[in-house]
Amino acid sequence: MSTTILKVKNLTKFFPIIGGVIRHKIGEVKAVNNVSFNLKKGDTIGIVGESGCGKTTVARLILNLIEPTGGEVIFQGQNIFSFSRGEMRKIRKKMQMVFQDPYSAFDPRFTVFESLSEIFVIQKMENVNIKEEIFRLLQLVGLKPEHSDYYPYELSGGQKQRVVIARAITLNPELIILDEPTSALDVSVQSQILNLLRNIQHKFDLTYLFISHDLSVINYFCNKVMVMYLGKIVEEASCEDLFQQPLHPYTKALISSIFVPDPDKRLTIVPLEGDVPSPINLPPGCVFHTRCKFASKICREKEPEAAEVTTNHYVACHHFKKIQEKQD
Amino acid sequence: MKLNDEKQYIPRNKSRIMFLKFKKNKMAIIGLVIISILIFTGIFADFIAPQSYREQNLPLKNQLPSSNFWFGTDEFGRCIFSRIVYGARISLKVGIISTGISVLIGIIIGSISAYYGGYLDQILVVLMDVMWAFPTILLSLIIVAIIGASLNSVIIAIALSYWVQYARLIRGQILSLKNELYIEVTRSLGANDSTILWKHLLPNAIIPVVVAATLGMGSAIVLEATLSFLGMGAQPPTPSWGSMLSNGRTYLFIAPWSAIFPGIATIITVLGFNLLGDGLRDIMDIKMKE
Amino acid sequence: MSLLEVNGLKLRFYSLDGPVEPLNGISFQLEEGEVLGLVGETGCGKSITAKSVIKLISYSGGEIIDGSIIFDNEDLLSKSEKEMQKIRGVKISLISQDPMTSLDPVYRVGDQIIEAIQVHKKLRYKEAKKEALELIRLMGIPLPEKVFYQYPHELSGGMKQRIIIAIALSCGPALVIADEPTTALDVTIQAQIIDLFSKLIEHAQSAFLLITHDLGVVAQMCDSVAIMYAGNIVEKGPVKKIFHSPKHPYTEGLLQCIPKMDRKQKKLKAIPGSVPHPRNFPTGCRFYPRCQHTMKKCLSQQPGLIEMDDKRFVACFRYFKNSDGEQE
Repeated sequence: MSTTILKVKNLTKFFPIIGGVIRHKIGEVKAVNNVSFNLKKGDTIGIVGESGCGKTTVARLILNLIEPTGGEVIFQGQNIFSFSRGEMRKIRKKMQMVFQDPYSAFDPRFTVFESLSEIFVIQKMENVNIKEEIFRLLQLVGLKPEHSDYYPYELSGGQKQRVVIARAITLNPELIILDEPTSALDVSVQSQILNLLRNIQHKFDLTYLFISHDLSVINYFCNKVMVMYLGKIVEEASCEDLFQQPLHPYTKALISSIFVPDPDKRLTIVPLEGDVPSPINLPPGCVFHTRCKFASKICREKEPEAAEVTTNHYVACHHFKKIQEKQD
Repeated sequence: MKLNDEKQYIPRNKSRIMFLKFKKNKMAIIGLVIISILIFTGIFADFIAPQSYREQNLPLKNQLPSSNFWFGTDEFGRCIFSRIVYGARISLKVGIISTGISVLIGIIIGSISAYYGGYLDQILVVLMDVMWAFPTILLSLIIVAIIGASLNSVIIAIALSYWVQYARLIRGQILSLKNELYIEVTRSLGANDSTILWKHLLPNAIIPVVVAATLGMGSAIVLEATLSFLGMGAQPPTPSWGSMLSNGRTYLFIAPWSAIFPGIATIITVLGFNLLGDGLRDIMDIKMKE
Repeated sequence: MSLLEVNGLKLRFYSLDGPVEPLNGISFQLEEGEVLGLVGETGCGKSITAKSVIKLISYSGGEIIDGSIIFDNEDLLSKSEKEMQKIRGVKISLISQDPMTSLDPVYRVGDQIIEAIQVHKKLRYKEAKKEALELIRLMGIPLPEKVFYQYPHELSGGMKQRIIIAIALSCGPALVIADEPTTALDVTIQAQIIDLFSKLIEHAQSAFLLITHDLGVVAQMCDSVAIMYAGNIVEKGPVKKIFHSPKHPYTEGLLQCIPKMDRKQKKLKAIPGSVPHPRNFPTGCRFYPRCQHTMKKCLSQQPGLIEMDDKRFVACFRYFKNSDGEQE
C-alpha cells in the first residue's frame, strides 16, 4: 500500500473584489470552493477543466504561493499553512512546480547556468559542486552542457521547458505540480516533453499532479482524473472509468467536445450551449445547472454532494442515475 | 561557451560581451568621448584655462575672440574661454550629482511603492503627485531661504524636483514585472523579498531609468541656468554656463559670443550624455546580438 | 478555374542579422465553397502565408519576392494598395489569431460591426445597424440588442470571437481566411465556434482557408488539407485520404504523437529534434534531420511536390518514380 503524501481538505479560496471610491470589498471571486482530494506516492493525478474552473488556483494554493480562505493542505502529515517562512523553505525542496509559460519562466537577464545555480544559493547548499550538478541535470532532461550558457531567448520553447523541468528536479522533490506544462508547445514537442516527464517520474519515484484543459493528454498521462467546474470537483475517477463511463453531464460534454484527428468521427451535435458563468456570480445550487440539459428544481436549490458510484468513481450530480438510464 | 583542452566548458564573459557591444555602437563612443573630454576639462581646468575665470579687465570688455582671448571677453572683461573651462566643473557637478540624488530617491520610493503595494503605494503615489505639481521655482526659493543661495541649493532643488519621474518609471516597470512567472518561481524556491527586488526586479526594471537619467542630466544643466539667472544658484563670479548664457542675453547684439559659446558647450554636453545613454541602453539589453 | 490559386510564393523578411526567406515557393489551390486547412507547427510559415494572400505582409515587415496569387481570375500581386483595400473585408476576409485583442477596446462592438459594413457599403447608420443586429443574431448570440451596445471587455472569449466572425462575414466574402480561430478558446466554446463555422459554410457558400496547428479541428471541418513544415508544403490532398494513410514522414509523425482517446498508450511516439529556425534551414530536404526514412538524396536536394493519385501531392523522395515508372 503506498502512502498518502498529500491531503487536500476543504480547500477554499475566495478573491475579494475591491471597488468603489473608498476601496471596499464589493464582491468575491469564488475561485476554489471546498475542494478535497488525496495524493498517494507515485500517483499521477490529473485535474481537468476550462478557464475559470480554479485548477491553477488549486496548484498555487498547494504550493503555498497564495493564502487560502479556508481548508488545509497536509503534506507529509503537516498542514503547510501553519509553517513559518523557514519551514516552508525546507518543504519547498520537496514540492516543485512546472508551469505553463516557458517564455517567462526565467529571468531574461540570467543564463541557464545562473538561473539554475541560484537555487543552490537560495537554499544555502554549500557542499555542492554546482557546475557538475547543473551539467548532470541538463543531461537528465536531454540537453547538453553548452546549453547552460544560453540566455532564455536563445532557446526554443521545448528546450526552455526542459530547463524548467531540470529546475524542478534540482532539489530532489517528491511531488511536482504541473500546470499546463505542454499547452504552449507544439504537438511534436509536447510528446517529447511528456515522454521526458514519464522517464524522470520512474527514475526518481515522483508523484505528479497534472493540470490541463486537454483531456486527451490527461487520458494518456494520468491514472486518475478530477474534473473541475467553477471551483468545484464535479467528478473523480480513474482515467479508464471516466472515459468509458462519464457520469456528470459536464464531463460528458467535455469528452464529446474533443476533436479527434479522424475525419470519420465528426461531431454531430454541439455538446454544450452558453458561456461559462463567472465565478463571481455563482449560480445557486449546483454550479453547472445553468448549462445543464437535465437541470431540475432541486439542481437550482441544493448543491449536490459527491457520491461514490462505483469503486473510486465519485460524482456530484443529483440526476446522474437518470441520465445514465436515458442514454442507455 | 568555449572548450578548453580538457573539454571543460568555460562560460561566456559577460563584461567582455558588454565591451564589444559598446564598441560597435558608434554613437555611444562619440558620447563617451565627449563626456570624457568634459570630465578631463573639469579636473584639469587649472592647467587648461589660460587665464583666471574671475580676473576682471574692464577696459577689455566685450571684445571679439582674439589670440589673447580665444572666445572673447564678457561684460567684465573676463576671458570667456577660461570661464567655459571652469564652467565644465560646475555643469558636471550639477548634472551628475543632482541626477544621481534624484535617481536614488526615485528608485527607492518607486520600488518600495510598487513592490509592497497596498496603502503604502497609495500614499506614495499621492506624494509623487504633490511633488510633481510643486513648482520648481517655489521649491528653490524655499531651499534658498533655508540654506542660502548657492550652487548646492540649486543642486538640491533640482534633485527634489526631478526624482518623481524616476520613481514613476521604476514603479511602472516593477508593477508589470512583479507578476512575471520567474518571480513567482524564485519566490517558490525560497527567496526572500530583498533577493527578488535586488537581483531580479531592479536589473530588469532599470533600463528605461538609465535612458531617462541621461536625458535628465541635460535638463538639470539647463534648469540650473534658469535658477542661476534668477539669482538663486551660482553666485558671481562662479562661471556656470547657465549664468553665462543668461547674462549673455543682455549683450546678444553687441557681443553675441558671450552667449554663443556657453550655449554650444551646453548643447554638446547634453548631446554627449544622450548618446552615452543610448549606448548604455543597448549594452544592457540582453537581446541585442554581439 | 479555382477561386484562389497561389503559386510558388516566396517571402523575404529583413532583420538586424540580414534577410530571411521563410517560405520556399508555396503552391496551393482553393475552389469555391471549399474548406482548406493549412496545418503546421510554430515557424512553418502558415500565418505569414495567410497574411500574404491579402497582401498584408508588408505591415509585418515582409516582402513578396516571387510567385503569383490569382483570386477570382485577378492577379492580386499587381494590384495597388488602394485596390487591395477594396478587396479586403469584401471579397476576402481575415479572422485574426487572437480574439482577445482583435477588437478595439474603446468602441462598442455594435459600432465596430457597423464600421466594417460602412467601409464597403453605402448605408446609413440605421440601416447598417439593422444589418449588424441580424449578423449578431446569425452568430447565435442571444439578445442581440443588448450585445450591440456592449464593449469588448464585457464579453467572454467565445462571444468576442463570434463578433469577429460577424465582422468578417459582414460583406459576404467569397473567401474567409481564419488564422487559428479557436486556439485561445476553451474546449467547449471551441466546439460551439467550430459548429458555427460549419453552419456558416453551408449557409454562405464562402470558401475557407483555415490556418491551424490542431489536426483535430482540421479533421472536423476541412475538405482538404495542406501540411506545412519549415516553409514548405510537404503533403496536401483530401482530408480523409491524408488522415487515413499519411505518406510524408512528418504527417505520419504528427498523427502519431497525438494521444489517442480510445485506448491507453504506454508510450507516445515523438518526432525527435525540433523545428529549425528560418535562418538555419538544412540544405536538401528540410525535414531530413528528424526523419526516420532518409535516403542519400535527401541530404542534398529538396523534394518538390509530386502528384500521387487523384489530387494527392507529397514532397518526399520515397515516392519519386524514375522515368521507367519504378520507385527510386
